[in-house]
Amino acid sequence: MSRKIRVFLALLILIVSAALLVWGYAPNPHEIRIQPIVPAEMRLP
Amino acid sequence: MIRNCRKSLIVLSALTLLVAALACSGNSSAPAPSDTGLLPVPTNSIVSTEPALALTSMPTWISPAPAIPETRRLTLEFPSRMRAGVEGDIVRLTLEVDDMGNITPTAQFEGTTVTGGTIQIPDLYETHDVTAEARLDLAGMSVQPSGVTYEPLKRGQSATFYWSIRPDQPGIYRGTAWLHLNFKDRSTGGESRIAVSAQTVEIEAVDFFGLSVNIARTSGVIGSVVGGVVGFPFLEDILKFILKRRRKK
Repeated sequence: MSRKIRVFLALLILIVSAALLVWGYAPNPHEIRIQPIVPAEMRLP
Repeated sequence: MIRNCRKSLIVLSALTLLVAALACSGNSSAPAPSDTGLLPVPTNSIVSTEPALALTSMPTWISPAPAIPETRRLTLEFPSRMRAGVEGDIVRLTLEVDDMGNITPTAQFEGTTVTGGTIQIPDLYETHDVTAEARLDLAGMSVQPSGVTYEPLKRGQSATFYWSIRPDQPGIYRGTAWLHLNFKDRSTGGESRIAVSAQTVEIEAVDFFGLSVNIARTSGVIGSVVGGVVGFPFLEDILKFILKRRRKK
């Protein structure tokens, strides 16, 4: 019985720790916007 | 008889004068040419150029203002979601030359394709010093460098701006990434400035059920060690089990 509880506890701690590590070190999702600029938009006022 | 002839001549000449007067009165509404030989500008030309074009019935050639003779591409890269706390991230704004930017203006109308010709635009690089000016406004978030940053813009070269951002608290942060171009006339020293782009930026800062990044990472490392230690006594059993199976085979 105590063996089963120990295994369960070990697995639970490992899963939670892994989740925390994944969340803590995962790269942030980046958004990229591309806007073409024609010469008419870069002329003297 | 002579009297009748005189009367007819008088009537005829009167009619001729009348016809001539009527013929001349047809253009009476048009403005008379001035002494300089130039047509006066109609009063309604300020509102629209159409009547002026109709009156002169000549094509008007407008010399284009000097411009940067390159099609460029503005790329804005930012984290749409990031962790709140000590961790920072990078916002990048790049004004690069578009290699595929030699666009010929083309219009399609009912199956007919109309392709525009090349317009010679005076080159701004030859007469002006061009500087790109960028600024990132993000309310409530730490932005480095704060304020305006400048980078000279040369022909065929790109200008890139980087900002380091760090949200202290979770939440949604909104702001604007500005890009201006500054022109300085080499001969006169006159300066002018135009806004090229103002893009809205929205960044969501999150935490892990109230835990900050540092706490989450530290807990993850400690938890892994603890989980390993708790599960370690069974590691021996697992290894024995695997070795037994191999021996049997």
